[in-house]
Amino acid sequence: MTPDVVAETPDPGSWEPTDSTKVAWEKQQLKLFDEVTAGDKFCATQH
Amino acid sequence: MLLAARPAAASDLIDLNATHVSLAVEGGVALVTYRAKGATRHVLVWGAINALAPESGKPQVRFKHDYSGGLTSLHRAAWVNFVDGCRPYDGPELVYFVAGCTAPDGSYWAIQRWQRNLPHRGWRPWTDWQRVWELRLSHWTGPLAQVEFDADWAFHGDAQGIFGRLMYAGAPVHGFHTTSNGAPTDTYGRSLYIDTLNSKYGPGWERETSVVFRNPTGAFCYSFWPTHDVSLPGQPARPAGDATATGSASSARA
Repeated sequence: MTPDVVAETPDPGSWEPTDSTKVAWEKQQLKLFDEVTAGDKFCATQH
Repeated sequence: MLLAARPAAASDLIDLNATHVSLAVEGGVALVTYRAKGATRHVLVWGAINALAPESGKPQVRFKHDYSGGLTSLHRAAWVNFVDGCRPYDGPELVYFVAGCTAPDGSYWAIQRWQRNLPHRGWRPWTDWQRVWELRLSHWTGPLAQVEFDADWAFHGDAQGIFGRLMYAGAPVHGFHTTSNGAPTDTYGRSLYIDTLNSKYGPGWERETSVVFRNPTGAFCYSFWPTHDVSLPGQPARPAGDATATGSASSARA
């Protein structure tokens, strides 16, 4: 019977494919997404 | 916008809309005292600590309750002479904290209170059930569950996305069955309540939706799209509380 917990994250704003900073960040996040959701069939379709 | 993830049901529901809450512990039994529905209640709770991994093959741990203050389980009003052996709470910081203490054996007891049933998509509650504040009790040793929570863009930038997983004691947290709407139906299932701050829904925190941590990974993934959910008012469509508003964020509760 463990306590309820909370996590927060800032939103990424709007996607801008010509913004190199956002492109690099998204590449990093996609890698993290694949690591965290590895083996999950549904999440694999949500890129 | 800020996004918040709030996993639920790891703790145990004691009552609704309770005030004047206090907590005492004697041996392995907690006494939760509060006011609800115009009366003072004395509830004894015992018999569970921490949580089992989904692959344990055993039923998940669950508290036992005596809402008569001892008359049912002990045939006496045990709450009257209850000797509180608990010290001030010195455990990890908790959200929605109402009361807590450190038991003589070093384990922690805590009471939290929050609104789990808020309607999705930022709608104001329109039923009593949606408005209720749940009083929830937990009892544990060691580290808390961890919500891993990140944002990205999904579908080539067409939508904002969030993803992550719930881990406890080094293992993913998940159930085995859900309803057609995704609500857990077994004692291992845990839900994630996704809130947005200063989003399209308006200022402050507003509930976007709830999802379940998935079997067997404990992961979740969600992207923000307009909804056509017929259970919500304001048909035919409701925008998603995505991040086009400035200065906003998201939160998740588990």
